[in-house]
Amino acid sequence: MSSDSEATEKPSLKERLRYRTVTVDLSPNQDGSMVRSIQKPRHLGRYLSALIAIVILVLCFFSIDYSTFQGFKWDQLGAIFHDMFNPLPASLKTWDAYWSYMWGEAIRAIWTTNEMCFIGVILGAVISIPIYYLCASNINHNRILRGIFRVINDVLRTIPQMVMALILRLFFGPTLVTGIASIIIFTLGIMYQLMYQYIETLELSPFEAIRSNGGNTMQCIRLSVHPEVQPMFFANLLYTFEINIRASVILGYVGAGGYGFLLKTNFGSGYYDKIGAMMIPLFVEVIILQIISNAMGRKSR
Amino acid sequence: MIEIKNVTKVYPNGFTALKNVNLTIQDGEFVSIIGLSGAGKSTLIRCINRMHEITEGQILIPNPVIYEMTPEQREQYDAVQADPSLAEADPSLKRLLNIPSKVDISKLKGKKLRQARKNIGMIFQSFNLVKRSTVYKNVLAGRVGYHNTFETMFGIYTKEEKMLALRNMEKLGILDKAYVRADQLSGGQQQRVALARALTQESHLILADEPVASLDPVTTISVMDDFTRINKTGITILANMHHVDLAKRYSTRIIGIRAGEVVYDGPASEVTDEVTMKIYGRALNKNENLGIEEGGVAQ
Amino acid sequence: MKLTFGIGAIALLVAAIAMAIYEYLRYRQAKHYPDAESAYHNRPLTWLTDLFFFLALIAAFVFLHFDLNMNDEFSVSGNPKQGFYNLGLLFQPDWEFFFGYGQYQFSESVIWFIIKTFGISYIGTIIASILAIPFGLLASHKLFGNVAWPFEIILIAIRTVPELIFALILIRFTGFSYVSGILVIGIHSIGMIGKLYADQVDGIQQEPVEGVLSCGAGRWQQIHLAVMPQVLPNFISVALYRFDINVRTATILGVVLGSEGGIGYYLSTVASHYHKLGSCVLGIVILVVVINVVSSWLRKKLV
Repeated sequence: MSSDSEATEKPSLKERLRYRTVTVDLSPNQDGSMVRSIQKPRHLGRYLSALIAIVILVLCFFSIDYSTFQGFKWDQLGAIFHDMFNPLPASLKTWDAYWSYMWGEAIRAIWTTNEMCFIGVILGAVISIPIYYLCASNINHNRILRGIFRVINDVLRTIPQMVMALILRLFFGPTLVTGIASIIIFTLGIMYQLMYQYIETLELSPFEAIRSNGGNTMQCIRLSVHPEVQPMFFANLLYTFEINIRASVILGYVGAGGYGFLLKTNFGSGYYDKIGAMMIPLFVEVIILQIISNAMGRKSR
Repeated sequence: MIEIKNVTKVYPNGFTALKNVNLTIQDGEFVSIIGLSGAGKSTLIRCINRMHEITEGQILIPNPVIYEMTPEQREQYDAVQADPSLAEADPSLKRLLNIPSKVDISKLKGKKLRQARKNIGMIFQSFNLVKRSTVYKNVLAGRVGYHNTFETMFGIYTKEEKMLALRNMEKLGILDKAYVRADQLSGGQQQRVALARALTQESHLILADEPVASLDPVTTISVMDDFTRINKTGITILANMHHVDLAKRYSTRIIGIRAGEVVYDGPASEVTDEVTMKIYGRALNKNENLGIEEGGVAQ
Repeated sequence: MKLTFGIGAIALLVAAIAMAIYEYLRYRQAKHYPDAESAYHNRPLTWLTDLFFFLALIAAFVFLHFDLNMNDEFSVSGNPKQGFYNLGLLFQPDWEFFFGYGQYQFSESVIWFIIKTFGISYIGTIIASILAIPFGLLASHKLFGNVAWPFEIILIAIRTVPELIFALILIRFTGFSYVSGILVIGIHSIGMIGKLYADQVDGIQQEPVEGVLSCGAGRWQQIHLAVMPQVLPNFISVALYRFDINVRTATILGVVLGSEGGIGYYLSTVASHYHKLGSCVLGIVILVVVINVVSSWLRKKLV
């Protein structure tokens, strides 16, 4: 039989690493009449990757300075939330002060952050419009040009926002300008990534039609692709805005003003009630934005 | 007049779609191209306005520069072309004499190519409308060749153009849907929008790449009737057809293509079973026709 | 002045939205026009809506310019010439500080802090990707229907709190230690990983589930036999993707958590020593790029 001749052939090392030969009896009542040798995959790659992951995990534990950890302070767990959502005698003292802090300074800080994000996101998104068309492989057939813009995109998205803000601070100092500039760059990175990937999923038959009408590439984009991507553009704009609201907490730490700066000061003085009062409006805003952008994104897909 | 001379098209994967095709299409003709799927019908159509590049040969189309001339210039040009001795008498006409009346579209580039495309309308099987735009905007998009990029960016069109678009819609019976989004229309209506777009382009040639292939028989008839009406106004129509009976009934001339070669070229009335045998490799059964008879669709 | 533009922006926005709604309602359905002329006179005024939106945006920008005192901000923001000089300093990193020789010990070098950052994000991601499995399954509407709502809301709530605020809160619980860092990464990424897991579960093929169901399997048997084998490679892919993001998040944790939070500690303490800052930035960029490349390579292999 052919299976016998295959069995006598000695498999290569690669084969042997990949499969294991097992002899099984396939006969219904196990009388040894239908003994076949089959190859069972060993899944060595899987075990190896799992092993590597575990080894890295173990190595990670060596990088830790264990002396800094003084155990879980379970009593603090409740106390944090109590401190955050109650006026403390050290800072706000009364509920009136708590609410007025929330409606006054907290809202004002969030408002400033919102304003910064608004300017940054709008400018970043507007700048991203020509770039995402240049990045989409079904519109721009020039591979080199596309490659250049995609590499720029990768670089923009790779650098953490705080590092970007620190670099921009060299130019603009600890001012709102730094914050807005870093939001613009951050938005640019996210926006054009999301948009060019979306455009690449589109079917571009109307584009062809406008081209046959005698339009140049810019006119074709304006008349055929632009109307199709517009709803997605606005959904992504809102999504980016929401990400920026959350991320701009860091900007305060760089000195770029807004919500994070107030948070840093309060934390430095241990005013947890003020932190709690600041958190509530932010929480509400981000949840609303998330729900709207989810709904918009789902609808325009 | 369009002259296709020795055109060969080889796709990058080595497939020869067209082999040494020679055709001359006169102004005002209604030409149907028939043949099996993959015989090269679509390729031929698309090569004429250079949506596809050809490998060898020439496709001569009227020089787009002529259409950019003012009526007086045009008159002078025609006179000079007809009688070159006029240029000797009037040296200012010499420039006009040197403008060739035909150009090879496969050699054109950039702006010249777009000007050439402006004079050739095209209709697609899948309509290729911008789904999220209104019908009105879709039809106005046909004017794109007459505007520069800046004007298109801001959607600037003249009143005459807007009226032309609306009148074309009226002609095709889709005026009521003018400000409705294109994706709300039925297939036949969408094809009429595409037709209106090609008309608004004011071209003298309309290429139709299987215009009725995705429509039902009743709609097919009415869309084909529209084509005939357009043809009567002096616009040349070059259409791909799947159904021989449809081609025979509506067109004045039929071109049969088989495996990239023209196997039949003649008047529609002379298409016999012998001819279809040559084009399709066998005679057609009755049930392979769309089933149209005089006055409507047979049940 | 400032207020005029603010109110103007809002008024224009309201006008634009009103216009848009009016036009939408008016042209939603086909209308009869007797001839082209009347259709022309009844055409939608889209350009007016667009103009209103555009003007609202301009007015809003002018308002914001005054509201944020951008004039003052621009006047105190440093001069670009100095900026380029400083940027040049960033490109001359302090190598002693980077590798931890000479006047610095290895335990205070950038490399060691980068390793710490990596450790925190790695352990945190592993914890999160395992804990997120039950959340992801429970938040899937396809498997659990309306029972999924509370879990989805929990996941949204976790995502909503910015990492830094999370860190600030957790410091009281676990101190300025590595545990805080791991918990911040661990808990915070459950929100996002859980959501992506749920998306994956919702996108599975239904046939194997039905097949197992027809053999009389219960819900958890269904999950074990039909759902998990389908989604496991995608789950790993999601976890790798999130690891990529977590590494970037971990680089800023040190700002709050101090020296046990990783490289972020140096970002806040040496921000004005440009040579040192340069070595920190170099370390971060190397870490992030390497992780990015490795994680996208692994994800490509998985798919």
